[in-house]
Amino acid sequence: MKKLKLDRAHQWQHIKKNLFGSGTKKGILYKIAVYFLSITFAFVFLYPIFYMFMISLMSNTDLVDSTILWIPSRIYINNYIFSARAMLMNQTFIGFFIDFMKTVDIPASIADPQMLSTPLFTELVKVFTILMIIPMTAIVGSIFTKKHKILWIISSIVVVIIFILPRSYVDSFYVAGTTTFMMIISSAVIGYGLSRFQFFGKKLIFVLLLVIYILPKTLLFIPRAEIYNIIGVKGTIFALWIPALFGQGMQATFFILVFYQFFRMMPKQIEEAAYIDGATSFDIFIRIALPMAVPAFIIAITYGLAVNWNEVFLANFYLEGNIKTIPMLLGSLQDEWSRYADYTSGDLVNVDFTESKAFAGTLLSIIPLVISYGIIQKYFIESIDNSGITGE
Amino acid sequence: MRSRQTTLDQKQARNGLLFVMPWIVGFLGLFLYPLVRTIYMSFNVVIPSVDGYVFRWVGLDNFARILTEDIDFVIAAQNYFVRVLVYTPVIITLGIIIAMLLNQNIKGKGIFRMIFFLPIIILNGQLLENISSYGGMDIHVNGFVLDVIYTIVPSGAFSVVLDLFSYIIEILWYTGVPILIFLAMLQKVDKSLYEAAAIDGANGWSIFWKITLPSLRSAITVAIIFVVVFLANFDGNPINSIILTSMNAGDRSEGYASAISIIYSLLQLLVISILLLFSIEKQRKRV
Repeated sequence: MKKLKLDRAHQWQHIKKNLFGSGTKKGILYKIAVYFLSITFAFVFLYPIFYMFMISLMSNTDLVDSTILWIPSRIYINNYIFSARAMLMNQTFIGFFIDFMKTVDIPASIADPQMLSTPLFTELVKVFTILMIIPMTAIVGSIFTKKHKILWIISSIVVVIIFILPRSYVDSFYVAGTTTFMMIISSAVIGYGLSRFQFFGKKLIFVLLLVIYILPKTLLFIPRAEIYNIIGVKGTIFALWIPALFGQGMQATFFILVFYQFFRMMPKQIEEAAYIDGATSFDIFIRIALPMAVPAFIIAITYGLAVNWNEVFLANFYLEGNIKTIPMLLGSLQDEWSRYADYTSGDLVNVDFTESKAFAGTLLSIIPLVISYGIIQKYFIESIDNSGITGE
Repeated sequence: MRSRQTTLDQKQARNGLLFVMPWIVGFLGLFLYPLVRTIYMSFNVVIPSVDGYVFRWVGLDNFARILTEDIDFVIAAQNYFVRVLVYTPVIITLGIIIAMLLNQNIKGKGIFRMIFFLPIIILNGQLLENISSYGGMDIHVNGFVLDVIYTIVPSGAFSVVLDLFSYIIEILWYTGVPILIFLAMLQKVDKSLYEAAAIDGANGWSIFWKITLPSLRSAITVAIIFVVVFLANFDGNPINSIILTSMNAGDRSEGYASAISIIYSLLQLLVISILLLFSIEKQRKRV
């Protein structure tokens, strides 16, 4: 009898240990709590996307039917077809470009001051930039890897893919991608200068960086537009590139500090050894510092793309509607609806603009971002793991 | 020897300035000059003409009009002020909780991270407006659950919680970058600290207050600044559209818009200093 009691006590000890954990080992209850909370948060995060998806499949008659809450009675695919049309996604970029070149009228003189913002020039710059991806990949890639052949092949495939993507996707990638590229170049250079050199006024620069970061973007946009007007770039993509190149773009401080943190981790000895071997500061930057900062580049590319893609206010103002990115098109979806929806089909009730159309458009607008994120996220999360992005 | 040292230092300084030169040029041309220009504009009535702007000096009239005559900006600014002061602590708290969850050794960590970082990538003003204006942002709380809660808790107290709850998805979607900042910081904390504390008999609660939170101190400051700046520049912020429409409105134009953005910038500085002072004060008490 006594032995049994002891056994029971022992067993209870064992169960208790498993349930609540002991020392640094966590118990089952703890694990259940962690999973429960994680799953709850994940559900709440994704809820709007589920909700949008289900609603976007419904026809307007389903929407007003109170018996239908989640599952549509039949899948109404026209929501997506008409939204894609209204958001200029029904045409490939190369198809659009060929059509455009057939109908465009060539400006009378090249010296026209407004030439930079004409549709012809806008499109030509766009195509030229996309083609420049191939040589740029080769140049930039040669810093990080020696496999030149693969770089050429991959970049050529990317360019071909870009040409057959829907038109507005290409426009958005063009605006966000090129601006991010400019911003990353300038942030890396500036971040390196701040992290590896001592010079007069460095502290002041940090204070100013912080102040610039805190001030809202609306503070300076009127005089900046004035400047762009004077040098003739308002209404063109250059109005977005110029601030990015000079470290004054969207959230530039954030990117400069990311690079600053990374370059600061570079051991001093490597730098000194290179100096003794006769390398210049620029050599060290290109050959040693940049290849070590791959995680910083991945963070900057991911976050920079997101920031520049989702920015509408300034992009709309500076581009003057000459290039329309997806968030801008999403904003005007309701107004443009009647021009693109097909009212001849007879099923008139279901064609009118409702939330199922808005949600279909919204989902279409996030598809390219979600796919890019799916590709890049593994590297993104790894980069965050081996970074100290929290600056002081 | 000494002179060689100084020349090396000088060379270093020169190279450093060379690297930072793009920023300095950008600062002078795209920050300092526009800032002076904005301040000058705010004291003028600006009339756009064929060759640039025509200015008519009116002193503080624009500011007086914004603060005393017109009501749209004042109301939007009050809303913004309250919203940021309420949202930010909630965002920071939820961010810390989620970052701690992600820092545990659980299965499917990659998927959870992917989900929690998704809003960083896809969130923009238009998207949020589209979703929330058609009810995609409210989780439908089950009627039965609500009834039970209402019978237990007096409804007045509970409605505040429910109000916050209807914004919960929006708030959670803002937590992406703060989670990222906290997670990066948590991973830098020395694991042996936790082990030592556990051996000394500290429970999870005191480990959180004594080790985890103090090690997040600088991350909290960074996250607060980030969240406030994000909310200010977010395209869904009505102040931005007020500034844009004012600029295009004939009776207001650029001078008035500049004055609004200056007041707005000062408000922004005030909000950040309040939040930072508050968080520093709290942390000092705790230590």
